[in-house]
Amino acid sequence: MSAISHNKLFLVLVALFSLTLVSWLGSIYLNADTRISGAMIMLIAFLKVRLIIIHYMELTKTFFALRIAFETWVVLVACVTIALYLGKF
Amino acid sequence: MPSEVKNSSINNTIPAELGLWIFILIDMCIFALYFWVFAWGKANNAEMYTQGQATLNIFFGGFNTAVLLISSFFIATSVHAARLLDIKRFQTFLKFTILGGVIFLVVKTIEYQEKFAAGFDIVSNEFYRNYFTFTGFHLLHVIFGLGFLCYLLFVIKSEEQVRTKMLHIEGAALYWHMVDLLWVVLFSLIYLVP
Repeated sequence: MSAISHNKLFLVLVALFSLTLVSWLGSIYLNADTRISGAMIMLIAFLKVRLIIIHYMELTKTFFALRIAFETWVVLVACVTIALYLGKF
Repeated sequence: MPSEVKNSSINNTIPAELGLWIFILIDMCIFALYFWVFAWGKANNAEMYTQGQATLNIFFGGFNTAVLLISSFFIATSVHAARLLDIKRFQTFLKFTILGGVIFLVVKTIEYQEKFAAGFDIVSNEFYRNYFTFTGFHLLHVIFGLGFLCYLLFVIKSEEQVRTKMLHIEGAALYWHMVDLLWVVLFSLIYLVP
C-alpha cells in the first residue's frame, strides 16, 4: 500500500475520532440552548457520515450520478432530521 | 514494486458492483426514516425521551462507536492491501475488522442485558420501542456484515483469488462502511443529543 493512501485513511480516522470527541464533550458541557447544541451534534454526525462516504467508501471513484445521490442523501437527511428534532414539522 | 489491482477488480470502473451501491442507498433511505421517527418523537415527547436517554449507558455507546470507526479504517486498509496484492496485510486487517465487529456484538449484548435486567424492554414505552427497534435492525446489519467479512477470510487465500474476487472484497467493505456510518448517526441521535 502506498504511504500516501495509508496516511490519508489514518488522517480520516483521526478526524472522525476528533469530531466524535467534540460532540460527546459538547453534549456534556455545552450550556447553550439544548436544542441548538443538539442540532450542532447532529450536524457533526452528518459531517462524519460524509467523511466516511467520500474517503472510506471512495464515492469520488463512482459515477457522477451516484455521487449526487449520496451527497443529496446526506444533505436531505441531515436537514430533515434536524428540522424534526427542532420541532419544525 | 508490487503490481496493483486497480479499483473495481481489473475492469476499472467503480469500487464494488453498481447494484450494491444502489442497495446500500436504499438501505440508508430506510434508516433515514428511523432517524426521522426518532427525531420527531424526541421533539414531541421530550420528557419521555430525556428520561429514557438517561437510563442508557453512554460509555457502551461511545465505546462501540470507537470500535466501528477503527474497524472501518481497518477494512479500508485491507482493501488497499488487496489492490496491491499484499495477501498477508489484507488478511491481517480483515481479521482486525472482524474482531471489531465481534466486540461490537458483545458490548451491544451486554447493553441489552443491562436494560432487560433493569426492567426495560421493547414495550416499556415509545422511547424503548424505537431504541430497541432501530439499534436492533442495525445489529442485524452488523451480523450480516460479519458474515460477508468471514466469507472473505475463508475464501480468499491467494493473489489469484484476490484478482478474481476483488468485487467481493470491495462490496463487503462498502457494506461495512455503511454499517459504520449508520451507527454514527444512531449514536448521536439516541445517546448524545439532549
